[in-house]
Amino acid sequence: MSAPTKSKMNAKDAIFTGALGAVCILIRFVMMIVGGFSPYVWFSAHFVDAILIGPVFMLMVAKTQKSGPFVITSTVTGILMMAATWMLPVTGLIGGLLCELCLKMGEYRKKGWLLAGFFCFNMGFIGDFLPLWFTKEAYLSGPSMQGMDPGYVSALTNLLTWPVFGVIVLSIAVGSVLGGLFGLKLMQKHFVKAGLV
Amino acid sequence: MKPLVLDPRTKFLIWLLTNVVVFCNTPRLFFTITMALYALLFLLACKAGSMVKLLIGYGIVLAAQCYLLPHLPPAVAMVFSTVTYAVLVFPCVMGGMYLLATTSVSQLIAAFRRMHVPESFTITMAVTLRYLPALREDVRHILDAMSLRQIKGLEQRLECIYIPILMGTAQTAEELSESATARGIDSPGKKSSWHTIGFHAQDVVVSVVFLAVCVVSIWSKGVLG
Repeated sequence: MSAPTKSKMNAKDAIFTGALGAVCILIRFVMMIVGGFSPYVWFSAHFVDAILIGPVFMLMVAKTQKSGPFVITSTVTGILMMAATWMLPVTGLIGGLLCELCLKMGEYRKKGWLLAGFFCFNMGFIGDFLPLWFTKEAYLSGPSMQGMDPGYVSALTNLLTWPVFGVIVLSIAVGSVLGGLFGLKLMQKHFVKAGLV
Repeated sequence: MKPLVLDPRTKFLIWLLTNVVVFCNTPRLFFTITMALYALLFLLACKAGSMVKLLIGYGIVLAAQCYLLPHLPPAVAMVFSTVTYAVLVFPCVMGGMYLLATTSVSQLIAAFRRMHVPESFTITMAVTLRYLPALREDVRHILDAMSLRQIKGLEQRLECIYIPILMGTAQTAEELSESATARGIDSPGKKSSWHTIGFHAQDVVVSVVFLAVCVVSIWSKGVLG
Protein backbone atom coordinates (compact mmCIF):
# COMPACT_ATOMS: atom_id res chain seq x y z
CA MET A 1 0.00 0.00 0.00
CA SER A 2 3.01 2.28 0.16
CA ALA A 3 3.50 3.18 -3.48
CA PRO A 4 0.70 5.19 -5.09
CA THR A 5 -0.31 2.69 -7.74
CA LYS A 6 -3.58 1.88 -9.42
CA SER A 7 -4.22 -0.88 -6.88
CA LYS A 8 -3.98 1.42 -3.89
CA MET A 9 -6.93 1.47 -1.53
CA ASN A 10 -8.89 4.71 -1.53
CA ALA A 11 -11.27 6.04 1.10
CA LYS A 12 -14.20 4.35 -0.59
CA ASP A 13 -12.59 0.93 -0.36
CA ALA A 14 -11.64 1.58 3.25
CA ILE A 15 -15.24 2.40 4.16
CA PHE A 16 -16.57 -0.63 2.33
CA THR A 17 -14.00 -2.83 4.03
CA GLY A 18 -14.90 -1.37 7.40
CA ALA A 19 -18.60 -2.06 6.98
CA LEU A 20 -18.07 -5.65 5.83
CA GLY A 21 -15.40 -6.11 8.48
CA ALA A 22 -18.05 -5.26 11.06
CA VAL A 23 -20.12 -8.18 9.77
CA CYS A 24 -17.10 -10.50 10.15
CA ILE A 25 -16.43 -9.28 13.66
CA LEU A 26 -20.05 -9.69 14.68
CA ILE A 27 -20.00 -13.33 13.55
CA ARG A 28 -16.71 -14.06 15.31
CA PHE A 29 -17.89 -12.34 18.44
CA VAL A 30 -21.13 -14.31 18.64
CA MET A 31 -19.24 -17.56 18.10
CA MET A 32 -16.73 -16.61 20.77
CA ILE A 33 -19.49 -16.00 23.32
CA VAL A 34 -21.10 -19.32 22.43
CA GLY A 35 -17.70 -21.01 22.66
CA GLY A 36 -17.15 -19.58 26.10
CA PHE A 37 -19.27 -22.33 27.58
CA SER A 38 -17.07 -25.26 26.79
CA PRO A 39 -13.74 -26.01 25.11
CA TYR A 40 -15.39 -28.50 22.75
CA VAL A 41 -17.65 -25.80 21.37
CA TRP A 42 -14.80 -23.33 21.38
CA PHE A 43 -12.55 -25.56 19.29
CA SER A 44 -15.25 -26.20 16.72
CA ALA A 45 -16.31 -22.54 16.62
CA HIS A 46 -13.69 -21.77 13.98
CA PHE A 47 -15.21 -24.32 11.65
CA VAL A 48 -18.60 -22.61 11.90
CA ASP A 49 -16.92 -19.19 11.64
CA ALA A 50 -15.30 -20.18 8.38
CA ILE A 51 -18.58 -21.30 6.83
CA LEU A 52 -20.46 -18.20 7.92
CA ILE A 53 -17.80 -15.72 6.84
CA GLY A 54 -17.46 -17.24 3.35
CA PRO A 55 -20.05 -15.02 1.64
CA VAL A 56 -18.73 -11.84 3.32
CA PHE A 57 -15.22 -12.68 2.18
CA MET A 58 -16.23 -13.38 -1.39
CA LEU A 59 -18.24 -10.16 -1.58
CA MET A 60 -15.25 -8.24 -0.28
CA VAL A 61 -12.97 -9.79 -2.90
CA ALA A 62 -15.40 -9.04 -5.70
CA LYS A 63 -16.04 -5.47 -4.60
CA THR A 64 -12.53 -4.24 -3.87
CA GLN A 65 -10.16 -6.31 -6.07
CA LYS A 66 -7.21 -4.66 -4.39
CA SER A 67 -4.59 -5.67 -1.92
CA GLY A 68 -5.05 -4.30 1.55
CA PRO A 69 -8.60 -4.91 2.76
CA PHE A 70 -8.00 -8.37 4.16
CA VAL A 71 -4.90 -7.70 6.15
CA ILE A 72 -6.64 -4.64 7.58
CA THR A 73 -9.83 -6.52 8.45
CA SER A 74 -8.05 -9.36 10.18
CA THR A 75 -5.81 -6.99 12.12
CA VAL A 76 -8.76 -4.83 13.16
CA THR A 77 -10.60 -7.98 14.30
CA GLY A 78 -7.55 -8.91 16.33
CA ILE A 79 -7.28 -5.49 17.90
CA LEU A 80 -10.96 -5.26 18.81
CA MET A 81 -10.85 -8.68 20.42
CA MET A 82 -7.46 -8.29 21.99
CA ALA A 83 -9.19 -8.31 25.36
CA ALA A 84 -9.04 -12.08 24.99
CA THR A 85 -5.34 -12.38 24.25
CA TRP A 86 -2.46 -10.36 22.85
CA MET A 87 -1.77 -13.03 20.25
CA LEU A 88 -4.84 -12.23 18.16
CA PRO A 89 -3.53 -9.04 16.52
CA VAL A 90 -0.26 -10.82 15.71
CA THR A 91 -1.80 -13.90 14.10
CA GLY A 92 -4.38 -11.63 12.47
CA LEU A 93 -1.63 -9.63 10.81
CA ILE A 94 0.23 -12.73 9.62
CA GLY A 95 -2.90 -14.51 8.39
CA GLY A 96 -4.06 -11.35 6.63
CA LEU A 97 -0.73 -10.92 4.83
CA LEU A 98 -0.71 -14.54 3.64
CA CYS A 99 -4.29 -14.11 2.47
CA GLU A 100 -3.36 -11.02 0.43
CA LEU A 101 -0.52 -12.96 -1.12
CA CYS A 102 -2.79 -15.84 -2.15
CA LEU A 103 -5.38 -13.50 -3.62
CA LYS A 104 -2.76 -11.62 -5.56
CA MET A 105 -1.43 -14.88 -6.99
CA GLY A 106 -4.93 -15.73 -8.14
CA GLU A 107 -5.54 -12.21 -9.46
CA TYR A 108 -8.66 -12.06 -7.28
CA ARG A 109 -10.44 -14.42 -9.65
CA LYS A 110 -9.06 -17.96 -9.62
CA LYS A 111 -11.15 -20.20 -7.43
CA GLY A 112 -8.33 -22.26 -5.92
CA TRP A 113 -6.39 -19.22 -4.81
CA LEU A 114 -9.55 -17.62 -3.48
CA LEU A 115 -10.13 -20.64 -1.26
CA ALA A 116 -6.47 -20.72 -0.19
CA GLY A 117 -6.65 -17.05 0.70
CA PHE A 118 -9.81 -17.61 2.65
CA PHE A 119 -8.12 -20.41 4.58
CA CYS A 120 -5.25 -18.06 5.54
CA PHE A 121 -7.78 -15.40 6.52
CA ASN A 122 -9.46 -17.84 8.90
CA MET A 123 -6.14 -19.08 10.26
CA GLY A 124 -5.48 -15.49 11.30
CA PHE A 125 -8.03 -15.94 14.03
CA ILE A 126 -6.38 -19.00 15.54
CA GLY A 127 -4.56 -16.75 18.00
CA ASP A 128 -7.51 -16.88 20.36
CA PHE A 129 -6.43 -20.17 21.80
CA LEU A 130 -2.75 -20.28 20.98
CA PRO A 131 -1.84 -19.12 24.51
CA LEU A 132 -3.50 -22.28 25.83
CA TRP A 133 -0.89 -24.30 23.95
CA PHE A 134 2.14 -22.09 24.45
CA THR A 135 1.63 -21.44 28.14
CA LYS A 136 0.20 -24.88 28.82
CA GLU A 137 2.62 -25.92 31.58
CA ALA A 138 2.31 -22.64 33.40
CA TYR A 139 -1.45 -22.66 33.01
CA LEU A 140 -1.90 -26.19 34.28
CA SER A 141 0.44 -25.82 37.24
CA GLY A 142 -0.54 -22.22 37.93
CA PRO A 143 -2.76 -20.79 40.62
CA SER A 144 -5.95 -21.28 38.63
CA MET A 145 -5.58 -25.06 38.89
CA GLN A 146 -4.96 -25.32 42.61
CA GLY A 147 -7.63 -27.24 44.44
CA MET A 148 -8.93 -28.78 41.24
CA ASP A 149 -9.61 -32.45 40.84
CA PRO A 150 -6.52 -34.33 39.52
CA GLY A 151 -8.74 -36.16 37.03
CA TYR A 152 -9.88 -32.84 35.67
CA VAL A 153 -6.34 -31.56 35.30
CA SER A 154 -5.20 -34.70 33.49
CA ALA A 155 -8.21 -34.58 31.17
CA LEU A 156 -7.30 -31.01 30.31
CA THR A 157 -3.66 -32.02 29.78
CA ASN A 158 -4.81 -34.63 27.31
CA LEU A 159 -6.96 -32.15 25.45
CA LEU A 160 -4.27 -29.52 25.03
CA THR A 161 -1.97 -31.58 22.83
CA TRP A 162 -0.58 -30.79 19.40
CA PRO A 163 -2.58 -33.51 17.60
CA VAL A 164 -5.75 -31.83 18.86
CA PHE A 165 -4.35 -28.58 17.52
CA GLY A 166 -3.83 -30.29 14.17
CA VAL A 167 -7.46 -31.39 14.15
CA ILE A 168 -8.53 -27.78 14.73
CA VAL A 169 -6.42 -26.59 11.79
CA LEU A 170 -7.88 -29.35 9.64
CA SER A 171 -11.41 -28.37 10.65
CA ILE A 172 -10.65 -24.78 9.68
CA ALA A 173 -9.40 -25.99 6.29
CA VAL A 174 -12.58 -27.98 5.66
CA GLY A 175 -14.72 -25.11 6.93
CA SER A 176 -12.91 -22.66 4.65
CA VAL A 177 -13.53 -24.75 1.56
CA LEU A 178 -17.20 -25.24 2.44
CA GLY A 179 -17.64 -21.59 3.38
CA GLY A 180 -15.83 -20.37 0.30
CA LEU A 181 -17.96 -22.50 -2.02
CA PHE A 182 -21.10 -21.42 -0.15
CA GLY A 183 -20.01 -17.82 -0.63
CA LEU A 184 -19.36 -18.24 -4.33
CA LYS A 185 -22.74 -19.90 -4.75
CA LEU A 186 -24.54 -17.05 -3.02
CA MET A 187 -22.62 -14.56 -5.14
CA GLN A 188 -23.79 -16.23 -8.33
CA LYS A 189 -27.33 -16.55 -7.08
CA HIS A 190 -27.92 -13.09 -5.67
CA PHE A 191 -25.28 -10.44 -6.08
CA VAL A 192 -24.49 -10.95 -9.73
CA LYS A 193 -28.19 -11.01 -10.47
CA ALA A 194 -28.79 -7.85 -8.47
CA GLY A 195 -26.01 -6.10 -10.35
CA LEU A 196 -24.09 -5.41 -7.18
CA VAL A 197 -20.86 -6.91 -8.42
CA MET B 1 -16.61 15.09 39.54
CA LYS B 2 -14.89 15.47 36.22
CA PRO B 3 -13.96 12.13 34.66
CA LEU B 4 -10.28 11.36 34.43
CA VAL B 5 -9.24 11.41 30.79
CA LEU B 6 -6.25 9.38 29.67
CA ASP B 7 -4.58 9.47 26.30
CA PRO B 8 -5.61 6.45 24.19
CA ARG B 9 -1.93 5.57 23.77
CA THR B 10 -1.56 5.35 27.55
CA LYS B 11 -4.49 2.93 27.61
CA PHE B 12 -2.77 0.76 24.99
CA LEU B 13 0.43 0.81 27.03
CA ILE B 14 -1.18 -0.24 30.32
CA TRP B 15 -3.13 -2.91 28.50
CA LEU B 16 0.14 -4.34 27.13
CA LEU B 17 1.69 -4.26 30.59
CA THR B 18 -1.33 -6.12 31.98
CA ASN B 19 -0.80 -8.78 29.36
CA VAL B 20 2.80 -9.17 30.46
CA VAL B 21 1.67 -9.63 34.07
CA VAL B 22 -0.91 -12.25 33.06
CA PHE B 23 1.05 -14.29 30.54
CA CYS B 24 4.31 -14.35 32.49
CA ASN B 25 2.30 -16.26 35.05
CA THR B 26 3.27 -14.03 37.94
CA PRO B 27 1.89 -14.65 41.46
CA ARG B 28 -1.87 -14.37 41.87
CA LEU B 29 -1.54 -11.31 44.08
CA PHE B 30 -0.54 -9.18 41.10
CA PHE B 31 -3.60 -10.21 39.11
CA THR B 32 -5.68 -8.83 41.95
CA ILE B 33 -3.63 -5.64 42.12
CA THR B 34 -4.00 -5.04 38.38
CA MET B 35 -7.73 -5.61 38.57
CA ALA B 36 -8.05 -3.27 41.54
CA LEU B 37 -6.14 -0.61 39.59
CA TYR B 38 -8.47 -1.01 36.63
CA ALA B 39 -11.48 -0.84 38.95
CA LEU B 40 -10.10 2.45 40.25
CA LEU B 41 -9.60 3.73 36.70
CA PHE B 42 -13.18 2.81 35.84
CA LEU B 43 -14.39 4.74 38.90
CA LEU B 44 -12.24 7.78 38.07
CA ALA B 45 -13.61 7.73 34.51
CA CYS B 46 -17.15 7.78 35.99
CA LYS B 47 -17.93 4.37 34.52
CA ALA B 48 -19.00 2.67 37.74
CA GLY B 49 -21.81 0.85 35.89
CA SER B 50 -19.48 -0.95 33.50
CA MET B 51 -17.15 -1.79 36.36
CA VAL B 52 -19.90 -3.33 38.48
CA LYS B 53 -21.05 -5.42 35.51
CA LEU B 54 -17.50 -6.67 34.92
CA LEU B 55 -16.95 -7.49 38.58
CA ILE B 56 -20.24 -9.38 38.79
CA GLY B 57 -19.14 -11.39 35.75
CA TYR B 58 -15.83 -12.09 37.45
CA GLY B 59 -17.61 -13.12 40.63
CA ILE B 60 -19.73 -15.60 38.72
CA VAL B 61 -16.82 -17.30 36.94
CA LEU B 62 -14.77 -17.33 40.13
CA ALA B 63 -17.63 -18.83 42.13
CA ALA B 64 -18.15 -21.44 39.42
CA GLN B 65 -14.49 -22.37 39.61
CA CYS B 66 -14.26 -22.55 43.38
CA TYR B 67 -17.61 -24.07 44.30
CA LEU B 68 -19.01 -25.80 41.26
CA LEU B 69 -16.13 -27.40 39.35
CA PRO B 70 -14.51 -29.34 42.24
CA HIS B 71 -17.84 -31.06 42.96
CA LEU B 72 -18.50 -32.17 39.41
CA PRO B 73 -17.09 -35.39 37.96
CA PRO B 74 -13.98 -34.65 35.87
CA ALA B 75 -15.71 -35.51 32.60
CA VAL B 76 -18.44 -32.93 33.25
CA ALA B 77 -16.02 -30.39 34.65
CA MET B 78 -14.05 -30.67 31.40
CA VAL B 79 -17.01 -29.34 29.52
CA PHE B 80 -16.86 -26.15 31.55
CA SER B 81 -13.11 -25.81 31.68
CA THR B 82 -13.09 -22.51 29.78
CA VAL B 83 -14.16 -21.01 33.10
CA THR B 84 -10.65 -21.40 34.51
CA TYR B 85 -9.23 -19.74 31.43
CA ALA B 86 -11.65 -16.85 31.82
CA VAL B 87 -10.51 -16.35 35.42
CA LEU B 88 -6.91 -16.34 34.26
CA VAL B 89 -7.24 -13.71 31.53
CA PHE B 90 -9.70 -11.50 33.37
CA PRO B 91 -7.27 -8.62 33.99
CA CYS B 92 -6.71 -8.39 30.21
CA VAL B 93 -10.46 -8.43 29.64
CA MET B 94 -10.82 -5.53 32.07
CA GLY B 95 -8.07 -3.64 30.26
CA GLY B 96 -9.70 -4.15 26.88
CA MET B 97 -13.11 -3.15 28.21
CA TYR B 98 -11.62 -0.05 29.81
CA LEU B 99 -10.05 0.95 26.52
CA LEU B 100 -13.27 0.49 24.56
CA ALA B 101 -15.61 1.96 27.18
CA THR B 102 -13.70 5.18 27.76
CA THR B 103 -12.43 6.02 24.27
CA SER B 104 -14.59 7.65 21.63
CA VAL B 105 -14.04 6.79 18.00
CA SER B 106 -12.72 10.25 17.22
CA GLN B 107 -10.17 10.03 20.04
CA LEU B 108 -9.05 6.69 18.68
CA ILE B 109 -8.64 8.17 15.21
CA ALA B 110 -6.65 11.07 16.63
CA ALA B 111 -4.38 8.63 18.48
CA PHE B 112 -3.86 6.49 15.37
CA ARG B 113 -3.00 9.55 13.29
CA ARG B 114 -0.52 10.62 15.93
CA MET B 115 1.05 7.16 15.79
CA HIS B 116 1.32 7.45 11.98
CA VAL B 117 -0.87 4.45 11.30
CA PRO B 118 -1.79 4.30 7.56
CA GLU B 119 -4.91 6.29 6.80
CA SER B 120 -6.75 3.40 5.14
CA PHE B 121 -6.32 1.35 8.31
CA THR B 122 -7.59 4.18 10.50
CA ILE B 123 -10.68 4.75 8.37
CA THR B 124 -11.49 1.04 8.24
CA MET B 125 -11.19 0.74 12.00
CA ALA B 126 -13.41 3.77 12.62
CA VAL B 127 -16.10 2.59 10.20
CA THR B 128 -16.07 -0.88 11.74
CA LEU B 129 -16.55 0.47 15.25
CA ARG B 130 -19.28 2.83 14.17
CA TYR B 131 -21.06 0.23 12.06
CA LEU B 132 -21.41 -2.49 14.72
CA PRO B 133 -24.44 -0.99 16.55
CA ALA B 134 -26.20 -0.29 13.23
CA LEU B 135 -25.61 -3.88 12.22
CA ARG B 136 -27.21 -5.20 15.39
CA GLU B 137 -30.30 -3.16 14.63
CA ASP B 138 -30.43 -4.54 11.07
CA VAL B 139 -30.22 -8.11 12.35
CA ARG B 140 -33.10 -7.51 14.72
CA HIS B 141 -35.31 -6.14 11.94
CA ILE B 142 -34.50 -9.08 9.68
CA LEU B 143 -35.27 -11.60 12.41
CA ASP B 144 -38.61 -9.88 13.02
CA ALA B 145 -39.44 -10.05 9.33
CA MET B 146 -38.38 -13.69 9.18
CA SER B 147 -40.60 -14.73 12.05
CA LEU B 148 -43.60 -13.48 10.08
CA ARG B 149 -42.87 -15.92 7.30
CA GLN B 150 -42.39 -19.64 7.25
CA ILE B 151 -38.72 -20.19 6.68
CA LYS B 152 -37.40 -23.69 7.03
CA GLY B 153 -34.02 -25.38 6.83
CA LEU B 154 -30.64 -24.19 7.93
CA GLU B 155 -29.41 -23.15 4.53
CA GLN B 156 -32.51 -21.18 3.69
CA ARG B 157 -32.51 -19.50 7.07
CA LEU B 158 -28.86 -18.53 6.67
CA GLU B 159 -29.54 -17.16 3.23
CA CYS B 160 -32.49 -15.15 4.51
CA ILE B 161 -30.42 -13.45 7.18
CA TYR B 162 -27.32 -13.10 5.11
CA ILE B 163 -28.40 -11.69 1.78
CA PRO B 164 -30.33 -8.70 3.17
CA ILE B 165 -27.50 -7.88 5.56
CA LEU B 166 -24.85 -7.98 2.87
CA MET B 167 -27.00 -6.05 0.41
CA GLY B 168 -27.78 -3.47 3.09
CA THR B 169 -24.15 -3.20 4.09
CA ALA B 170 -23.02 -2.68 0.51
CA GLN B 171 -25.66 0.01 0.07
CA THR B 172 -24.80 1.80 3.31
CA ALA B 173 -21.09 1.67 2.57
CA GLU B 174 -21.74 3.28 -0.81
CA GLU B 175 -23.72 6.11 0.77
CA LEU B 176 -21.23 6.58 3.58
CA SER B 177 -18.31 6.88 1.21
CA GLU B 178 -20.16 9.44 -0.92
CA SER B 179 -20.90 11.57 2.11
CA ALA B 180 -17.35 11.20 3.41
CA THR B 181 -15.89 12.16 0.04
CA ALA B 182 -18.15 15.21 -0.03
CA ARG B 183 -16.70 16.21 3.35
CA GLY B 184 -13.16 15.90 2.12
CA ILE B 185 -11.92 12.56 3.40
CA ASP B 186 -9.58 12.29 0.42
CA SER B 187 -8.01 15.70 0.96
CA PRO B 188 -4.26 15.37 1.29
CA GLY B 189 -3.85 18.05 4.00
CA LYS B 190 -3.32 17.44 7.68
CA LYS B 191 -6.61 16.73 9.42
CA SER B 192 -7.67 18.33 12.65
CA SER B 193 -9.58 16.63 15.43
CA TRP B 194 -12.41 17.82 17.65
CA HIS B 195 -10.94 15.95 20.59
CA THR B 196 -7.41 16.99 21.45
CA ILE B 197 -5.23 14.26 22.84
CA GLY B 198 -1.86 14.43 24.52
CA PHE B 199 0.18 13.13 27.41
CA HIS B 200 -0.48 14.86 30.73
CA ALA B 201 0.44 14.34 34.36
CA GLN B 202 -2.23 11.66 34.86
CA ASP B 203 -0.84 9.64 31.92
CA VAL B 204 2.59 9.67 33.48
CA VAL B 205 1.25 8.61 36.90
CA VAL B 206 -0.87 5.75 35.53
CA SER B 207 1.91 4.47 33.25
CA VAL B 208 4.46 4.53 36.05
CA VAL B 209 2.13 2.68 38.45
CA PHE B 210 1.40 -0.06 35.90
CA LEU B 211 5.04 -0.33 34.92
CA ALA B 212 6.00 -0.67 38.59
CA VAL B 213 3.41 -3.42 39.14
CA CYS B 214 4.67 -5.23 36.05
CA VAL B 215 8.35 -5.06 37.04
CA VAL B 216 7.71 -6.01 40.67
CA SER B 217 5.50 -8.93 39.64
CA ILE B 218 8.21 -10.39 37.40
CA TRP B 219 10.88 -9.79 40.02
CA SER B 220 8.82 -11.38 42.79
CA LYS B 221 8.19 -14.43 40.62
CA GLY B 222 11.74 -15.55 41.35
CA VAL B 223 11.53 -14.64 45.03
CA LEU B 224 8.05 -15.84 46.00
CA GLY B 225 7.35 -18.49 43.47
